[in-house]
Amino acid sequence: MRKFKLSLILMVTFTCFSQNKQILYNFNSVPQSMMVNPGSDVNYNWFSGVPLLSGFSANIGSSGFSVYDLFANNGVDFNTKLRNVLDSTSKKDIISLNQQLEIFNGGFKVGDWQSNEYVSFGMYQESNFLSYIPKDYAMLVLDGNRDYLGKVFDIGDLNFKGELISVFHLGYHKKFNEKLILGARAKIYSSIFNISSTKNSGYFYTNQGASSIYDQVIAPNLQVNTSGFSNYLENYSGNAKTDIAKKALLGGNLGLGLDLGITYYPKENLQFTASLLDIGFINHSKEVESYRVKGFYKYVGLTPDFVLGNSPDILEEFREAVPVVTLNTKYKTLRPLKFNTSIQYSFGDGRGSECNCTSNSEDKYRNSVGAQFFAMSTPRTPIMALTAFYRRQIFDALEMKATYTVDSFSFNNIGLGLSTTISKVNFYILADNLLEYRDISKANSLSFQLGLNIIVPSKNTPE
Amino acid sequence: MNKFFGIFLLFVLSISCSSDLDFTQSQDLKLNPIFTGNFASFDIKATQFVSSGVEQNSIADEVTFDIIKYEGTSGFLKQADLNFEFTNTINRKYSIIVNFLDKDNVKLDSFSVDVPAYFGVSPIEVKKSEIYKTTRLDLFRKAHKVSFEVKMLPGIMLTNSSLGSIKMRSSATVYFLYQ
Repeated sequence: MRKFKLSLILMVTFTCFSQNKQILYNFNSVPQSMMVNPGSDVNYNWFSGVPLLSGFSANIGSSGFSVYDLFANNGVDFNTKLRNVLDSTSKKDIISLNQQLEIFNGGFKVGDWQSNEYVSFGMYQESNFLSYIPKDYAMLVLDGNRDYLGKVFDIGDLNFKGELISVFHLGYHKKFNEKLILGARAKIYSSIFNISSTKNSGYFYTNQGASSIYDQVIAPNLQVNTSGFSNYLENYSGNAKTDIAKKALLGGNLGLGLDLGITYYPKENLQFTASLLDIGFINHSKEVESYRVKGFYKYVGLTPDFVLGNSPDILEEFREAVPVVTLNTKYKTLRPLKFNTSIQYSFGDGRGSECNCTSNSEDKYRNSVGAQFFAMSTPRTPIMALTAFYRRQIFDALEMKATYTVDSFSFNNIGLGLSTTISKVNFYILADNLLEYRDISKANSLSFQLGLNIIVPSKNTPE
Repeated sequence: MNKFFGIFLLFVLSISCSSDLDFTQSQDLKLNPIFTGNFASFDIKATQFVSSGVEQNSIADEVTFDIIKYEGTSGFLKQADLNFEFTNTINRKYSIIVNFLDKDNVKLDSFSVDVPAYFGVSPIEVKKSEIYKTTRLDLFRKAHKVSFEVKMLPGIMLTNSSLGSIKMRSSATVYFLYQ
């Protein structure tokens, strides 16, 4: 029972940390697919997500190790496991948390039944945390520097960002002809909390010295930016819940963003799509507090001079050479830019079968196969993934999409999504990394998304 | 159609399981980093022992020593090893006394090293190690200053033109334990 509960908890809370929504992408019977491509080939009169239930995902993952590696109840000393994890990870590995909750989401066709223009809108809340493994810092904490003479420790290993934001969005989507659909979505971000430290550099080393035993130098160039926290740190007398609600409703640090998308049919059964999401930024000007540590210090130890009797105070010297400065200057953060693209070949005529799919080009076919590519910017190198998929209209109201994804972290990511629309109620469930469910404690990442929508289908004839 | 979702959910749940995990073992975390760095160094020329043409038998200095006492680290300090290297190229024998003092200049710990005189062959090198643990470590932790006294023992008189120097280099290796 304990294992079952853990499975359930982890299944809901673990998902692909790269924010790649490869099952949802181009899975157009789910209205939320427009969130990953505003130019997707959707077809409805109007839809509305059930408030707070239309879309939820909570993500946590690590590219370098799994929960099992650290917490397996296998008799191995925890410190040995920690050491093994450190040995098996590199500074390129990521620990990440991403959670999204749709507050409301809807869309409608503009004009009469012949219109091909759609407007969509909504609001969602998102929290993110991403940190690269600070490997050199971990080595110093675990081992110290004695066994690493000559090694240059990279102070730039500290690289993380975290945030809590709300996003308001308004999208426009037009089918220009049977071949081309374009869409765009404007976004207003309201940042509730933000912390980021992503442009650090510097070094620390200990070499054999000449006049002193060691040649020891520390030269950090670190900055941690925060916004939205400072009011709560000292003598806060307000109501945090009210404050946070206000910040969520455009009272926080604001930013602007844009999503772009396209669907193009070179042939009736051949489809190309692409989207570029979160081209935008947030300007942090309220409750900003940043900390900068920058300088150069060569540590030579105590140096009695036997002459003046005024030998320097080392700590004072260090503080002057490497000062910690608190700043209140505004800063800007760029949103993680995401790029999706796909190519799809459809086959198997749906007309005349139990599938009564005559609404749009791709639904004329019961089967589709194709490939997708995903890339997302990070403070260092982009995360990329390649997906092969098979999609099938099983019944009129049931659609399935199976995916196989290869990325930097996994070569055996199999996912499955189901979407049903009975009467006007659409329910979808998408699960990723199915093979990892055999023992989810060993999984580096899992995803699970579900949601509930009301969809009124498009009419093909005037009333 | 809901059957399919039921079957899918049941399938996922039925194949999913987890190895036995124990999150409480994080309480067994034990960190024991070992840091090494310079402790102290000096380089005293032979002429520094001569003031206004008169030989000084002893010179001394004291320096503030707060780095090990730095808040948040001292409590986890389990051992400190001090390693000294003395090099003499002056034709005089020296006795070097190192004292650890508290804020009121009360001597907490002390040790001395004798360095033989240099006779013009190869520099005289002397090494010494001091290990601080248990009760001696407590004295080390309380130290606020370190004084260095360099006593020149009887020998050929030094002048303003005497050559050579007495040098000291030293390192500290500190052992921390956090659990």
